[in-house]
Amino acid sequence: MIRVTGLMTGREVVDAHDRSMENLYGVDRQISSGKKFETPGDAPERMGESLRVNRTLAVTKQVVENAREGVVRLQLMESIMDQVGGLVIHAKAMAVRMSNETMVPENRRVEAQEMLRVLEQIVSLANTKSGEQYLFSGTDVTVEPFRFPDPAHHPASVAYQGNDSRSYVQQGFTSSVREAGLMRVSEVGSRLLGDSVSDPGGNSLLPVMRRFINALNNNDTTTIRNSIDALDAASHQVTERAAVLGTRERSLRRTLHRLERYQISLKTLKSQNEDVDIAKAVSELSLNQNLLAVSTKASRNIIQNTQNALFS
Amino acid sequence: MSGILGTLNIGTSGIEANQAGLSTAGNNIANVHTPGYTQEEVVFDQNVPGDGSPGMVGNGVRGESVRRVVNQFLDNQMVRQKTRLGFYEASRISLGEIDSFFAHAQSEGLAKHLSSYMSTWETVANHPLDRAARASLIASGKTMSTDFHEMAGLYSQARDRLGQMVGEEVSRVNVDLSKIAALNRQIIKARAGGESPNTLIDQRSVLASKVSKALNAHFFADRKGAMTLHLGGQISVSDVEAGTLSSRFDPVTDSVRILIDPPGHSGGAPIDITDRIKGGTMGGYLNVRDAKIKHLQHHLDVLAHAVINHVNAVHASGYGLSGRTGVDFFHPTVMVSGQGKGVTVVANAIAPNRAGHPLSVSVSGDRVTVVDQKTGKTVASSRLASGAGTVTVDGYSIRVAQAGTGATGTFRISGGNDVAGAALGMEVVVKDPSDLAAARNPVSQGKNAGDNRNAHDLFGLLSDRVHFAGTDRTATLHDFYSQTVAQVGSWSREARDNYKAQMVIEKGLKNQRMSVSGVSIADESARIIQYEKAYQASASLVQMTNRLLDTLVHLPTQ
Repeated sequence: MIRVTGLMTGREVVDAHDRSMENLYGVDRQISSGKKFETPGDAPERMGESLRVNRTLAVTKQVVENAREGVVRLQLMESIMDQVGGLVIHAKAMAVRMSNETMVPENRRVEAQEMLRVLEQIVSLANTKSGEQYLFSGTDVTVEPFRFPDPAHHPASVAYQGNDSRSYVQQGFTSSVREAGLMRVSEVGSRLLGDSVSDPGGNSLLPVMRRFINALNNNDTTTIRNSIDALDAASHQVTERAAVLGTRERSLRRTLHRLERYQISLKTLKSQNEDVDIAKAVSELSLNQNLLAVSTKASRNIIQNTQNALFS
Repeated sequence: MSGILGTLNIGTSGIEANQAGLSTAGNNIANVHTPGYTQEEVVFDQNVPGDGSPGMVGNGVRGESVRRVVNQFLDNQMVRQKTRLGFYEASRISLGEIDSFFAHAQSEGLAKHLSSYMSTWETVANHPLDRAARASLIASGKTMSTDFHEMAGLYSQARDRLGQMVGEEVSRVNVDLSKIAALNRQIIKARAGGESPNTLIDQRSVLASKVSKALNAHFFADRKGAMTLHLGGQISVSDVEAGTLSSRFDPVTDSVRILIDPPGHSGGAPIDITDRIKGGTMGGYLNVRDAKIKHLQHHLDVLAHAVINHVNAVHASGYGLSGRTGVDFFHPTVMVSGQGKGVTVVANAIAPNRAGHPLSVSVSGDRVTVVDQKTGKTVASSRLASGAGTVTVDGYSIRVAQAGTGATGTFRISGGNDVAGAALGMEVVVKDPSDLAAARNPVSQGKNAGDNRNAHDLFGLLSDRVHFAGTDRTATLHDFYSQTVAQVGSWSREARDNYKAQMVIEKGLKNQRMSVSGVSIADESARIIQYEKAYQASASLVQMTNRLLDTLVHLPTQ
């Protein structure tokens, strides 16, 4: 039989009270902060897990922003190419009309001026900016992609001024194959529309337009007839390029949706790891409050009974 | 003595002995809450009986001594337990402070700002002409640097505070050692006079517990009753003399050293006992200060070194809108000395473990030669294309950029694996946003301004596994930082758990000791009643003897 002293009883009572208070404080802290832990020492494993999730969230958030940026640019580029395609169809219709033997040279010269306006519209569209950057000048984004050189030397010609490089958005991430995560968001204008100064005999839109306009001015019906097929081919080329840009845009949009869903999953995981289940915490709080009340009452009774027994 | 007066003496001895019992029980009750008080009891013994008729008749009782009710084994256990308790108590408090530095670390502080800085490179990649995005990147780099400075500062302040606490502990222990020596003197003197110096022994035990809680101590009691005390294997209290502890900061080992000047060690240099202090609050503070926080400081420096060198290496290899290349983003940790004409050289350590020895870089026209200064061998040789080039050799990424034709110069590169002070020294050195190297290929007025490949590479550092100083294993920058957080969390949790466990053990030991040596008011009350009754009975005997004497005195003479 162990000999129990008054001091032992008193200390036991105080310890029990302290334990109840500590538990109550822990639950109270969780409820007030809404978090299961505050410092690494509270839950080292949970903190590690949260750090991992947050890092992935930060990367994903940035990639989502990149994808949004890319989608806007690709949409703009696709829309420009669609409008260019519409102008090419207009030019082709004009070529069909002007190839008619009933047309007189004067008619063709007048329409040549009309086609020059169409060419100017095409160049104006190709020189569109997204923010501060030109879209079709490669990475020479501060330089207008297309310009009209001196018409005396190069009538109806358009020269490309950009370079052959491209800029990209990071739309995915694998550190080992970083190139795989890059999506092109600028284009080399000369590859889309050609360059009628450096390549006047080319099959791209601008050289074809140059030949067509000059043929109208010169009343060269053979070249005008040839321009019908050439413009048709150029139209296909432009449509094809627009379709490629559209495919890229849709791919980026799919990536965007996938990443947004992934973000939601990550946030759910983070919440499960960090956030307190309030209902559970509140029931724990009331349990601890009751325990503390019972413990305090019991302590008072024990001490009073001991004193009464000794001194009454 | 026999006869009627003998009976009177028996009564008197009973009164005296039970009065001593009453005083002792009263003293016990009075000290029921006195820390370190040990229950006392009177040792009663019979007086030597006198010869007589009808035979040997008892001669009453005497209180031979007042003894401490103690179990020496339990007392020793309690004292030893204090050392472990002190260690974990100090660890819990000091690691709790470090733990609080990392409050909400998952979404605040360094982890957040590291991600934010790296992500801002993507904003620049998406808008390479946007000066606001570029200025924001510089601000983000500065914010991250400030985080490194703050962490380094917090560690340093915590170590300073712990150093002060060790100093205060040393002062307290010195006071206690002097008191123990003084008590030794009084106890020896009292014992020599045949006294039982129980109160003094209790006081000395309390002091011994305090010393034991401060650091691991060994106690021995000799026959005279003096306590001999050893600290760190060195005698610190011998009989009536006490040694002196002192603490000093050793800049060579960057640690606080504990020295002892033992009693009778006049003239000799104090003895360093730091490495033998394994427990107590002092041991706990020293362990946290000079092992754990030192490790964290180093870890932070290694992380800062990795961020600086890997970012710089990629940044220096790219081109800014201004057309400049070979520009570091952060103040470099690698030393580049030497002179050149029309050429600049910057170097960063991308594999610090291999960047231990100095290299010499010679530039002549477009020819670059790198020589290992230790072996004298040429380790790399290349030609510069477009006026600039990067040579990756022996753990270094060396960027050489020509400013014109006829470039020439010799440079010495060193300190690739030197991480000391990297966190505190982290500083953004790019001032002009147009110098931020987002492009991989040369940029000039109106040319290639939209090249954003280098910015993508810099963002890629967030997910790349890179090399760190002092380890051959690669990890991402975030994972490396997470190791620190996990380490702090596990230390802090361990200290809390161990402290709780030690508290439970101590409580058990305390209860065991109290069940033997503690004062029970119930027991003492019962004893008081016993002594009171015995006292009353002895007094009755005296009264009865007095009546007998009266009877004898008043007998009629015949």
